[in-house]
Amino acid sequence: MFPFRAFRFLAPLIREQRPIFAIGVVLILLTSLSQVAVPRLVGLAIQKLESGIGVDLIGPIALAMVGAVLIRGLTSFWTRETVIASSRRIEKKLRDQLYEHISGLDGSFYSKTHTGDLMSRFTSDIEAVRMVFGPAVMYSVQTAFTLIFALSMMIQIDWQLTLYSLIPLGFLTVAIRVIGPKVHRESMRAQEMLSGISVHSQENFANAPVIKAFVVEDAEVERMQRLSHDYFRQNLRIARLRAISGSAMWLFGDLALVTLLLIGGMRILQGDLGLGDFATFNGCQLLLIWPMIALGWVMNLFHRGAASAERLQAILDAKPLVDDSRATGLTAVQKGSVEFQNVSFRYPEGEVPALENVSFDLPPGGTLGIVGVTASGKSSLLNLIPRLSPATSGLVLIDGKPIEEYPLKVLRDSISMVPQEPFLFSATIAENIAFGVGDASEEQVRAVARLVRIDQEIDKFPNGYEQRVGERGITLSGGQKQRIAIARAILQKPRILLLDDVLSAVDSETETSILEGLKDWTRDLTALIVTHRLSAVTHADEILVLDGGKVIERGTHSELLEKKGKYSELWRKQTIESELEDLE
Amino acid sequence: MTSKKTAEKNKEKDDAEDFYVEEVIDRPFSRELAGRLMRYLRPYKGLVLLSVMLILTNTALSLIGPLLIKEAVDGPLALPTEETESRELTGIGQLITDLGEGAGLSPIAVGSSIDERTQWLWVLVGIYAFTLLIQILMRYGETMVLNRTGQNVMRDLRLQIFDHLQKQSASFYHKNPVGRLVTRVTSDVEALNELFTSGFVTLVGDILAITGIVIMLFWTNAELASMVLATAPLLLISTTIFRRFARKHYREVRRRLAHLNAFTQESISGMEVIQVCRREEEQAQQYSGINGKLQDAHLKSIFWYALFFPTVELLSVVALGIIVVQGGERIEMGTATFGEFFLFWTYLTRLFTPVRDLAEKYNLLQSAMASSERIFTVLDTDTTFAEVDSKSEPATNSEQDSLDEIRFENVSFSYDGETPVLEDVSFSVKRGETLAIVGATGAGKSTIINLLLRFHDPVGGRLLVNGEDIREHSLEEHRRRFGLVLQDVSVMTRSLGENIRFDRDISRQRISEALEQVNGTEIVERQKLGLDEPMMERGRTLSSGERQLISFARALAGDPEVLVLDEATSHVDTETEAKIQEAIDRMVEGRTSVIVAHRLSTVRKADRILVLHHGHLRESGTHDELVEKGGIYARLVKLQFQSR
Repeated sequence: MFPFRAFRFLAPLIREQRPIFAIGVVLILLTSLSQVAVPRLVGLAIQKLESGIGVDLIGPIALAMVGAVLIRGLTSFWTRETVIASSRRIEKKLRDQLYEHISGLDGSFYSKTHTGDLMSRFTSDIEAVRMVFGPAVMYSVQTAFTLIFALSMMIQIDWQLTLYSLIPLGFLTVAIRVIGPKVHRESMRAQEMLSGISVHSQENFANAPVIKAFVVEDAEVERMQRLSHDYFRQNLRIARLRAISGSAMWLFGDLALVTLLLIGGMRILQGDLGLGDFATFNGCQLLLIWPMIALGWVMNLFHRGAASAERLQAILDAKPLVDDSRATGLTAVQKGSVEFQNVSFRYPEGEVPALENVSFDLPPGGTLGIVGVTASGKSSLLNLIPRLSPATSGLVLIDGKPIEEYPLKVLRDSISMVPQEPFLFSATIAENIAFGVGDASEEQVRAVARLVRIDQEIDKFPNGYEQRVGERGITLSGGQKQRIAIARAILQKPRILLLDDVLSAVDSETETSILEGLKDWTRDLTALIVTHRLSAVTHADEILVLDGGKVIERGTHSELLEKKGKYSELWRKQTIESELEDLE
Repeated sequence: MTSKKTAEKNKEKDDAEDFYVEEVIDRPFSRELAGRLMRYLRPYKGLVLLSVMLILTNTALSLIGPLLIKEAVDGPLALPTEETESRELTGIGQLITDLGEGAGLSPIAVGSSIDERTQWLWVLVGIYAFTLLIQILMRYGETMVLNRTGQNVMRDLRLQIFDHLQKQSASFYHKNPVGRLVTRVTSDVEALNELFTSGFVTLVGDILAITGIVIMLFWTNAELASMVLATAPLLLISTTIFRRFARKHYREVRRRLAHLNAFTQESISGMEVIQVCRREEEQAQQYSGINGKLQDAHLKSIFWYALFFPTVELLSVVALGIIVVQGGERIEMGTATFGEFFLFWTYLTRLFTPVRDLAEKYNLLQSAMASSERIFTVLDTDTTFAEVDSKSEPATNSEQDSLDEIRFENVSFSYDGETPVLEDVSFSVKRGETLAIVGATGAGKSTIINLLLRFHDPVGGRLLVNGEDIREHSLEEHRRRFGLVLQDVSVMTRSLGENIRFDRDISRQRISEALEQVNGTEIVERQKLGLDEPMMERGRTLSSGERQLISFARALAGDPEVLVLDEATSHVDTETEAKIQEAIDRMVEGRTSVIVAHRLSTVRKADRILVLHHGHLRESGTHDELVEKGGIYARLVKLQFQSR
């Protein structure tokens, strides 16, 4: 009935918590026992009163009731403290594990995984699994014990009456079991509709000028009205299901009482049942209502949890294509030459190759310029060098050895890369600059900041280098982010520096001055520079012009100008642009 | 314009950072906010009234069950002792007796036979079942009415926010990150949903239920009731304590969770950087630390929940113990009955649940308060008329003349009121002419387009269309003259065809024609569903060149009098670039056009060229005139030939 198989991969995590779960089960046993004692004691009291024998025992009976509940209070307190707490521990470990796992996955995984999907693994899926090991376990065990104790007591009093009152209670379980998944499914649809509303708003707010220019504001509001109305109707659909299940709970719960009143009442009249036993029965029924609801609910939790567990396992089973399996004992990149031999690369789900038969040989300390239009394969080329993605075919060599022979740690230690979209963490500016080195002195951080010409701007922030990125009011411009990212890269003192169009957001004057400043640092480095601004690579040893993943032109700046091809055309266009910018 | 582009680029990042900027805030109950929220219920007075009535009757009906059990125990089921004989029936009991006697049953007495008693039992059970049935229906009705009311309010509020935001001027969008605005329309409204559908009315229902039960208890046996209810202050105190701690930890959990999620999101987006910098271990450790803090917060809140539930339970059983001892004594003395004992017992179990719920509902109220405050702040920020003078509307003449001339007359403009972006710029475009604007980034080219479409009004000078100030005409009619193509192409998540139609009254035929005119037919042919192919967010499935062509088609499909084009500089492959160039040439021919130009080939063909620099109009004239003049433009052209 329960899809336990889905949770098998969690066995090591569960094993750690096993002793605690065992204690939890014992505690739940005690909880259920003390819980069932209460109606029994009430029944006993009534029996005494009814018969008039042992009336003086009423006081002690009442005390026993309070005693039973004290025990129950303690045990149920500790049940939560053990079982629910355990589930939180499992949740934490599972989340840590998941995080660690995805840290090791490469481009082949990330290129086909949406951030939003991965986020929901971390949030809703982990929570669903947690619910299984917390509330679901707790309530299913408790339901089982309570059922056993309450039923055995009820059967002892009158097995036929037990049967009659169980029927409505059974319906309770069925109702929850049937309606629960429907509610879940419809809620998921509602969630989708809400994200539709979110996308529509986002697109409208982001494209406000176009919408205003075409004077279609009203039509857009109408669209929103339609979306809102659909969402409205969907929510009412869910409300209807909830209303049905809510009513069913009342109906079947009270129906059990009505049954007891009728059948039990007749038994009393026939003298088969005492008022005291009637009371015990009544109490047991009241106790059973919640566990019977919980039974249906718990089953739903198990199923939902199993689906989530499967999704989690799929991620945990994903193996990186990039690993140290072919690594030899290389401990460092010595010189830093970079060579590509007929390298091709295709994204896992790409139709056309992103790179096709690219070859070049860059000596240590050399500079390679890579230019080309958007999506021509420039970034893909850079990504192959630190093995963010593996090449589909061909060889990438560093110092004449295939990069797979370097342990990842060694390889990446000697490479610094600044991606196209500079990425800053929500930490202080100093922490962001020192991100790649762990511990850097303040002087070192300031030194590299000066190199990329951002030191004066940082000094102007209220908290200087300790300013947190993204804090209210302090938003860095694109150019500032890019320069911080460059500072981070050069602070790592790499052998090989990869720059992916990193100064697109600063004006050409600043760019020249930054490149000027970096010269001393980068003189001995091997540098691969992707850029849209050709002036940044005029000094390069070789320039590759990429188009559709292929090298269409190559040579030094002057050689390429001679060719009067794509490069020289681009160059002309940019000269005119910079001329315009330089106007006084 | 550069700042805007950067803002666009950083949009995704900003969304993640919102987590930090906007920590989940709870807000104590505010009468002012609540009052303003209540105003949204006004259109649904009927529904509100109905729901209140349903809640009232439901609460009343739910009180009947235990009463009937009491009557059964004291009536037909009671042992024929002296006490029952002299018992006076009251209230419901009397009603039932009347009912039963009306049906021909003889009243219960000491000597009533088992058959008579059984008949009475059937009557009671029948009434119970009947009220149960009514209750089920009404409970269903209650839930539905409540949800309908709540959902209606949500929808109204959502549309109001959306409508309001959409009316805001360009500068509003510069100041507010899109991600944050979207939150207002979605999650903030959702937080209120909870309040309206479950929170608010459950609150009323619970309070009613508690009051009803207390009244019934006192009515049945005041002495016993006052003893049982002596536990109530204890319950109230423990509830209050619990509420305080639970809220504290609840908030802590939410804060930690938001932090953890933000960290996760950031790590996923920045994974390349983490990997290349080999910071996987450090990041994982940091993650584990934040995760651990969340776990601690969870464990702490478990403690309070674990403590609270047994406490409530304990109090309820202490109350039961009081009933057993005191009730037992009174039964012995004959001042209470077994039926009353049952009544107290059943009511007690029903009393403690709503009391427990109330504490939890309070959290809901607080986050709803915080959300509504954020929503009202947005609704109270109105920049609609700050930018565009309102006196312009309504139109003085709705039938517009066809356009003969657009004239900028000594126009000056500044976005912030300090830094001038345009200074004393004058020029004109006549029907059928093509005007090209040349200049460096930040020279004021895009501002000219913004003024032309009246996204802003000039600070100095004026814009004339056919010799009349555009402020004297309807804003909408003015904008309808133009077909705008911006550099940032806005492909939306709707079908390809809808992206071109763009909510206007344009036939499919015309859409296809427009696509053909801009060399875009191939894009349609490539899609499985042709024009009906749904587009992904931000037009992901299209190349940047294709997106550009779509926006051309969109502008062209409306047959605009004036084509306004911010020529794209996006780097597209050679083939697409040729197509785009050809499309521009074809679109511009014979149509009044204003083009922010980046390619000299486009500029060259223009009837008039403006050279802008730092907000000043430096040169103006045809290609030949400007070349002859030997100024900036001439230098640019020379440069072009040199390098060729």
